[in-house]
Parts: sequence; structure tokens; C-alpha cells
Amino acid sequence: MKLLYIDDDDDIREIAELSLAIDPEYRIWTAASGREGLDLAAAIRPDVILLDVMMPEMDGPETFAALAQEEDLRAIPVVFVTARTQNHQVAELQSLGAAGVIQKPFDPLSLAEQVRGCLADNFGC
Amino acid sequence: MSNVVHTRALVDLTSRPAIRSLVVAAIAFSAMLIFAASGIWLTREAGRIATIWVANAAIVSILLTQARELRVVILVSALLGNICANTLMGDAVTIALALSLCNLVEIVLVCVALQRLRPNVDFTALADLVPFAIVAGFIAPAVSALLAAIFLYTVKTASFLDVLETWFASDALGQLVFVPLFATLAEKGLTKDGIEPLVRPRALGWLLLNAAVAILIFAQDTMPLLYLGIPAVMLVAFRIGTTGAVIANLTMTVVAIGLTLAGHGPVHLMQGGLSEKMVTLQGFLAICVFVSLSISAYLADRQRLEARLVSTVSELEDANEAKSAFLSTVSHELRTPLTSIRGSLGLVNAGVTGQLPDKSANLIRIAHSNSERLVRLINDILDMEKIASGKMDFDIRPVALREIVQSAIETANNYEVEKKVKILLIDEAAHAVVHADADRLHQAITNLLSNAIKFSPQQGVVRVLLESMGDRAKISISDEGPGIPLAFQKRIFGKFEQADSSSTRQKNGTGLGLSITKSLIEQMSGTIDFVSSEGQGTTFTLSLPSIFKPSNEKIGLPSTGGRAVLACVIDGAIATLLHRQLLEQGYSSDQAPDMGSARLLLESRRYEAVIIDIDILGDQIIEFFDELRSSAQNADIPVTIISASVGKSKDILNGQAVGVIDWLAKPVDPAHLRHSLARLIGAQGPRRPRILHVEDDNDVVQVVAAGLGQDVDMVFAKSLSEARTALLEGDFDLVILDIVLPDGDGLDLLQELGTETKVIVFSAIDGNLTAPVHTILTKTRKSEADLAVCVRSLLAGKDADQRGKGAR
Repeated sequence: MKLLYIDDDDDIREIAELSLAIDPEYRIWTAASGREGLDLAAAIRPDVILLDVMMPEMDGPETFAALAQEEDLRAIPVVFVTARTQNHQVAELQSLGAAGVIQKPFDPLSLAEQVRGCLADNFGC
Repeated sequence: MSNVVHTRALVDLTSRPAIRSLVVAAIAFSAMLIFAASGIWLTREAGRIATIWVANAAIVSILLTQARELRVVILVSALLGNICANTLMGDAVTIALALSLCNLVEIVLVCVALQRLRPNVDFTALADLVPFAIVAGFIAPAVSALLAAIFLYTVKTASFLDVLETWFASDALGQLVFVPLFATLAEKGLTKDGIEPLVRPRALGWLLLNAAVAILIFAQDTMPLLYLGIPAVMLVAFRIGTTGAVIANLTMTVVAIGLTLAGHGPVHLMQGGLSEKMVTLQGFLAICVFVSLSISAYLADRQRLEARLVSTVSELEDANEAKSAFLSTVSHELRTPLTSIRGSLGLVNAGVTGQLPDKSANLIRIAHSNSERLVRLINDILDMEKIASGKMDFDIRPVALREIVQSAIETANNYEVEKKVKILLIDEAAHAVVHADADRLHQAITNLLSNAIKFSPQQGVVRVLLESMGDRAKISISDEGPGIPLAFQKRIFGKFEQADSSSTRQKNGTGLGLSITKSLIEQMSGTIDFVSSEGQGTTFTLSLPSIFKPSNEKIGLPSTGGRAVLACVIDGAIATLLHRQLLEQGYSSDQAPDMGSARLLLESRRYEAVIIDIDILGDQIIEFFDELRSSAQNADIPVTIISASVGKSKDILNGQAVGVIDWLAKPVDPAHLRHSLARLIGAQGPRRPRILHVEDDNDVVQVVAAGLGQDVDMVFAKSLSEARTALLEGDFDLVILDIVLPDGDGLDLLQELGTETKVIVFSAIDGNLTAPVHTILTKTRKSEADLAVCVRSLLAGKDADQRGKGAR
């Protein structure tokens, strides 16, 4: 399963990559900005995209909207990963049509599992 | 009067001090001249009943509203004006001078006293109004009147008392009515603040009403209507405040004096002399003024207080808003670096990057557990903040208490696993449905469980008791910890409170848990309480509104009436299935995931039956049954065993008279389970005693059945073989046995009966039986009624010493 992680924080990208690698099913790509993420997504066609919310220039929801504009990319489930964890903030992200919202700081050992959970919920609906 | 009203505007225009002084001097002079002349005319010419001396009040007002350096100019101009007025009205210059000086003394006294007491007199403040009333309404006019009376008495041999009375009354009234009027008008004057409240239709209405009442009182000559005047001015004071009150008073005064002078009004109805009438009118007007100004000042005070409160509240709201925003931002800013820290430590600690040397591993473990703690702390702080600012949403709806508690226990079972603390759930509120937010209640219970585990000793036990009391459900969580120190008990629900607040404290925690729990529970209309004594453990009790009814029609389940079954099963799915099926049959269930829990639960509560998975018993199976059967409480408790290989398990227990009611094969089939449960506990209500009557005489069978009544289950067997079949199908509490049967000796059955089954031999044979039975009754000697009594007493457990006695 191809997974794309988009986050402007270098350290968090590295840790997320290591955390997700615990699950051998995942092949992981990372991008440091929304723009880079969009290009990479178009190139590799991931099965799921993990998207940071607070990013300079193009933030998470903007990147999400841009993905939805692309015919080929709009079907890819997107899971937001955010440090803004208040109920209304999470609800806002969900209302955009995200497959799930994972809160930062995430548990590195169960991140892969959480992503699977989000996808299962999504397809279950 | 209008001169003074415009004074300020005019003076403001004149910026040059010389011109300004000149203008003020002219105003003071002319005000004194006009008011004094008219005042003298009132007192001397128009009869003395209605007198009011406005002149002094006008000068006091000018002094109060103008700069201090103009005082001398104002006073000199006023003195000159007064002398002129007196001279014009026919006084000699010396007398005019002396009387003017008397007025001057009053003016100076009022001004000095007022400015000593309150530098800036405000007639809308009660604190200013009272000293004003004392000085201007009493002391100053009294001094002035005394001086004038002495002078006129000596020089003109006038009546001392008459002068004193008239002078005092007219001056005091003038001060009381006009100083507030002039000062208020000069202060607010033609400004927007001053006029706006007056020109509203309602305000005008109140003022007109007041004027109408004044005219009504003083234009008629038949009724003593003075009492109507006071409520009239009070109403205006209430509705329009100080400005309205001074105008209402002016209206009342002008109408009263004018019409009284014209010979109308209630004062003329009075008996008595001039002076009594004068005192009445002056007194009436003085009271109108004092009451209305007091009311308006009191109201103004309240309004100022309200305004201050409103602004304080809005400042606090702003500050709170800022605090929330700050906390939210800070917690977000903390989360981002914490993601890296927690992530790195979590990965290294889990060995993802390879094994570390022991010392390093320990340090990483410490760092990791503290980063986890930091995450919890941030979450707790945000929760706290959300609760405090009322931003936490509660989705209150009916939820099944047991499910939430069960799930909270599952969560808590992951805490401090190495401590091996057991959590036991004792459910005495099987159907309890509470009004709560499921997530928040889960959070609250998990918090309490985590606390209980934290303070439990190694391998301690945490008991969770669910109870139902009318419209409340109670959840009690007890630990075997050290208890809460008495000194700390009062602060226990405070924020950041921990009993051991030393820097070396042993217990990890944020100190916010209980505070959050309390807030959560209270937001759901619940209460939280605790009982604790040092060394005795602690019990926290939550009480929540519930919709439990003894027989819960809503969910269509029978009441459990406190009856419970102990379920010792490993498989969660079977546990859930059991719980549901037992509920349907009117039983609550407690679950024990291991032998230890099962033992503890059997000690702490009376159960109707036990269902146990043989895998839980393991090689302690014999020991367990020995224990069970030798305990007083559970000696005859029915047991169903669940096993993957029933045959093998039966072999293990072979020869052991353990009283197993039933065997269930794994995997458990729901239909079989239901069937087995029915056998274990009876289909409904408390278990009915099952009696096997082995008898070949149909008449005896019927008579015995009639004697025993409806509340026992009777099974009949006419022969040994029928009896054997019946015994294979189920266990019996009691067997009534005939000895002579068509196919053999009834006593042969005895070997096939479990030790738990009580036996009554009811036979025609009158022999000396030595069989191991409870009672032997001989048909010819004992009636069926005796048999029924005997059955009842055996079923009730009173089998002692019955054996054999009936035979003789």
C-alpha cells in the first residue's frame, strides 16, 4: 500500500516514516509542502495521503481542496494529522470529507494501525 | 433662573479672565437683585404663609459651579445686589447692609462646609446629598436666621420668633429646592445628557402628571390633598432621575407658592395661625425635595454600580477569552515539538532502532514515560479549560451503565499492568440506564479507575459496584490503597492537587484528574463523593440520574430483584452473550476473568449460579470445587462448566461429587447456552424446587401433588426405569421414593442420586431401613399432609436429625 505523508516539519516527517515502517505493508513517500505533495501524489498515485494541517503557503485544507480538483486524485482517502485537537477543529476537518483525523502527538507504535482504522471506517460507511 | 442656566455657556465663551470676572459679577449681582427683591415682596407684601428665598441658593449655585478665584467677585456682587434689592424695597441702607450680611453668612457657610466635605458636590450621589441637606437645609439658614432675628429685634423691635421662623423656613426651602436645581442644570444644562432624558415622551408624560397633581392639590379649596404631592415627585424621581426630580420639585414649589398666595389650596383649610400654616407648606415642600432627591441619588448610585459591574464583567469576559485563546495556542505549539519527542522516544523505547544497553534503555524509558505524561497533562489542561469556559459539549442521552463501565474497565486494565491489580465488577443494577454523555462518563470512570490502580498495592483489588436507587444509579470504585490523608481530603478536587506534592512524589499524574472528573460528573447532573481513612483504602462514589425501573418495561426485561449469576469466562463474546441472555431471564451477571477474581466475587456476593470456563479452572479444578462445596454460602450452588472437550473434563471430575449441573461444549452455541441457562437457573424468577416423585399408585401421586401446591416442579415416575430417565434429563432437589415398584426396589435408585439430592422414602413397608436417606415416612402412619410438611422443611434446608425418625 502506497502512503504519502505531507508535513512541513522535517523531524515529524522522519518519525512518521519510521513509525509507519513498522507495518511492512506500507511503502512510504514524504513531501515537505502542499505543493510538493500534490506533484508527488500525481506521480505515484498513493492509496492514502496523510496531511498536516498547519503548513506555510498552502495549508492542509487548501492542499485537500487542490487534491479534490484533480480528476485522478480526488478519490484518494486523506487523513489529517493535526495538533489542533479541539472538538470543533476536528469536526471542521471531518466535515471537509477527510477519511479521518489523527491527533498529534501521535503514538508512533500505533500510527500505522490508526491509519488502517481510519480507512476501514471510511470504507465501512 | 435662566440667567444661571446660561451662565456656563456664556462664561465659557469669554476666555479672557477680566471679561469673565465681569460677566460672572454681573450675573451674580442681577440674580441677587431680582431674587432678593421678589423674595422680600413675597415675605412682606404677599402675606407670609408662602415664602421662599431663592436668592441665596442662586449665589451658592454660582459659587459651586465657578472657579475658586472668582469667589470674592461673586460674593461682593451678590452683597451689592442684595443691598440694592433691600433699598429698592424700602429698607434703610444700614438695615439693608445688615440683612445682606446675614444672607452672606449663610452663603459662605454652605459653600465652605460643602467644599470641605466634598470638593465636587454631586447631587446625584447620596453621599453628597446628605451633608448638603444638613448644612444648606438646616445649619446655615438657622445661623443666618438667628443673626437676622437678633438684629431686627434690637433695631426694629420686631418679633424675634417671627423673624427667626420666617427667615429660616424660606431660606432653608430656597436652598433645598434651588441649589440642586441650579447645580444640576448648570452641570448638565443644555447638554445632550441633560435634555435627552427629559424630552422622551414618557418623561414628559411623568413631568406633566406631576404638574397636574400639583395643580389638583393647590387649586382646590375643599380637601387636604397635600399627601398626593410626595408620590407625584417620587414617581418622577424614579422614572427620570435627578434632572427630572429637580424639575418636578420646581414645578411643585412654584404651583404651591403661587396658588397659596392666590388664596387657594389645602393650607388655607388648616386651623391655627400664620406660622403653623407656613410651617406646613414649607415642610411639605422640603419633604418633597428631600424624598425625591434621595430616591434619584440612590438610583443613580445603583446605576453607576451596575455600569461598573457591566464593564467589569465584559473586561473579565475579554480576559477569559484571551486566556482560552492563549491556552489553545500554547497547547498547540507544545504539541508540535512533543510529536517529535514522543515519536522518537516511543520508537527507540520499543526497540525499533535496535537494542540499547541497559542503562540507556532505562533512561529512555524514563524519558518516554514522562513524555507520555506531558501529553496527558496538555490534554487535561485543555479539558479543564474547556470545562471552565463552558465550551465542552455534552451529548446527554440514555446510555446503558454496564456497557460504559465495562469498557472503562477494559481501558483501565491496560494501566500499570506490571502491578497485576484486579478490577472486579459487581453489578447490582443490571438494567440501569443513566442520562449521561457516554464518552465523558467513560472518561470520568477511567480517571477514577486509573487513580484506584495507581494507589493500589501490588496485586491489589479494585472493586467496582453498580447499584440502583430509585432514579439514581451509583457507581462505587474502591481500592485497597493507603487512603487519603485527612488533611488532603478537603483539597482533593482542587486543581493540580496531589496528596504527595513533594518533588520526589511517587505517583505520576497531572493532579487534574479528580478536578476534571468532578466537573464532568457535575455537568451531567451527577455527584461525586468519597469515603476514605488512612490505611483503609478509598471509595469514590458517583451518582447519576437514571431511568431504571424495578421492572423495566421500556427494555422489556424482567427485574433481577438482586439475583445474580457469576460468569467466569475468558471469551469476551461469550461474556457479552451470557450477560444479555441472563438479563433476559431476570438475572444480572458479574464476570471474573480468572480464578482469583472468581474467589473474591464469590466471597463478596451471593450468587444463584456459577458458569465457569474449564480453562480458567485449569489444574485447580478439584480444588475449586472443594472450596466451593465446603463454603457455607455456596455449598449447593449450581454450576455449569464450559469446556472444549466435555468428555475429557468429565473424566477429570469423575468420582468427584461436585454437583455440576450442566456441561457446555466450546465453541458455545447461543441456543445451547440459552437452554443451559434455563436449566441452570430456571426459566423465570427464583429457581423452583424440582421434585421427582417415584410412585406407582396414581391416587397417591395426585394427593401428594395437591398437598405440595403450585410452587414446585413435580416430575412423576411410575417405575424405576422412568425414574432413571428423569434423573438423566435433569437434577432434582428432592426425590420422594416408594420402595415397592413394578420393576424393582426403589432403594436401588439411591446410588444414582447425587449427594445434593434429598430423599424421602414414602412407603407402605414398615421396616427398619438403614438406607442413607433423609426421612422415612410410613404410608399407614403418616398422611400426605405430613409428607408435604416434611418436603417443605427439607427444601428449606432443615433436614437435620429427621433421618429415620419417621419410621417409628
